Amino acid sequence: MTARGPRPDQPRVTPVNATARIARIVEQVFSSLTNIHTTFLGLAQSTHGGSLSRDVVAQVRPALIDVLHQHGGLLGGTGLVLAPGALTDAPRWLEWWLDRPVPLPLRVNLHSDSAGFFDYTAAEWYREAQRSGHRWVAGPYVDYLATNEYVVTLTLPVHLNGGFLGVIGADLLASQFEDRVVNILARMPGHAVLVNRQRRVLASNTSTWLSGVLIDEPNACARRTGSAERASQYVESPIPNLPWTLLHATMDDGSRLRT
Amino acid sequence: MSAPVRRIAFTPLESPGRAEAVARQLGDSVRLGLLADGEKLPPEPELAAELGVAMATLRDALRLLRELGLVSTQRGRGGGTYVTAPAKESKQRLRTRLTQIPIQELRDLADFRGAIYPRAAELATDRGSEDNHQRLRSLIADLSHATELGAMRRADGLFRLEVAASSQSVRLTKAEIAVQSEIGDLLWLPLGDSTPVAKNHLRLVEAMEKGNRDQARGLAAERVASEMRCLIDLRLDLTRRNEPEEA
Repeated sequence: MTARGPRPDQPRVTPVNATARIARIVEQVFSSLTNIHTTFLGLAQSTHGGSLSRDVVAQVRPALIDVLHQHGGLLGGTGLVLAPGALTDAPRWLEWWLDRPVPLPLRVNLHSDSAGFFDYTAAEWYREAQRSGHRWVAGPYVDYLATNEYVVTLTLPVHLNGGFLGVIGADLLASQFEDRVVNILARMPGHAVLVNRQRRVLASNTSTWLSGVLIDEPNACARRTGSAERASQYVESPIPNLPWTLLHATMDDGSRLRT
Repeated sequence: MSAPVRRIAFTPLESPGRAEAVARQLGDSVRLGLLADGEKLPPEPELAAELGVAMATLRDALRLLRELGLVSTQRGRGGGTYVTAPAKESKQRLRTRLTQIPIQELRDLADFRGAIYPRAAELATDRGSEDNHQRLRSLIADLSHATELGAMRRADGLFRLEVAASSQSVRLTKAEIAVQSEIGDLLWLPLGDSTPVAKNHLRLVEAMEKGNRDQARGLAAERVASEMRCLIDLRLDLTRRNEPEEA
């Protein structure tokens, strides 16, 4: 009943092509974060003796709101998350804006002695950006602490004079990201599945693999679900500069596209 | 007590949110056909008492429903509030609606339905009476005899609600109503033949009659998984066919 594969008049997408396009979606967001990074460092350097306050951080607001508007609904929010002690007038602080008809600042509980305390320093996207000193991609995960959305979080660490100031980040709405990737994967013949570092599915062109599912060993899973006789072996293509992999298998014949 | 908890504690009971909740509940019932087209609602004081809300709240709710075109009010003698069932969406409209729902949202709905319906079937096996079984069988007959999609969808929807209600859990029944009102119309879009659905429903009733709760649970879970998979397959297929190549 359902057509298996792209319409004949549409150009097919090869795995190389698909991985580059998937990477581009994410790089565009990272590029926005890099711009915020530059803006923020400029502000931080111009303060006397690097004494940062909430007022200084607030000056990044217009740039953050611009970023929300630049990505056409892909982002749930974006902002700066300050390291404890980075500001002179607040022990912890975040300047995070949510994409709403009128952008809305995220309000979370930052009092470490209360029950609803949001300890962002324990979050993977903060901790790993700090530890690695490089950009980090976390998720997809259900963000039950702050936004209640299913997101992928991108972060960049911020350093000034050798000190760690915090991270700049953005939440990709997993559903929006998935739909963009599916538009690419839908033009690939056979099964194509994008998985993250833990081999959790971010997007796929088949209902055999739905987003959020773990596929540790795709060929074994395919056998288990009874689709083994139809799917050939999965080929893995890394997504450039991201901790993600595209798994790809053509059906039936040997016309598998190799990278 | 933390600040958010205090906020919940002191939420005014007659808040605008309450009228919306009443409107949602009545609106869901209209959309599911539990309240039939042209049916006259009870007089306002009676209805308010039944729903356990103030008259002002009920009036706000009815105003919201009028705006949605789900009820109409006639003044004067013989006047009152009447149900106006929404026109059935065309297949094309439904397809367009489906392409606008993110795949992850469909998957999440499948997860949620997988928590409600199988549990309801399990409890219905323990708690359902012969009356329930009879009603379920007669709804299966309606489903099998239905010739057009709207009638199939209605019989199928009522079957599921009867299963949920047989569990004796108001919360499970409400959750099933809410989920059906959200997605019910779309579930039948990839189908067209009621035979496999009727067969699965019949096996479920047989399992309930035999008191085999595990089997009932399994059949219900299978049903939810398979129809959500069909829906996601259709969604992917529509994406393949419609999505223009990006520049």
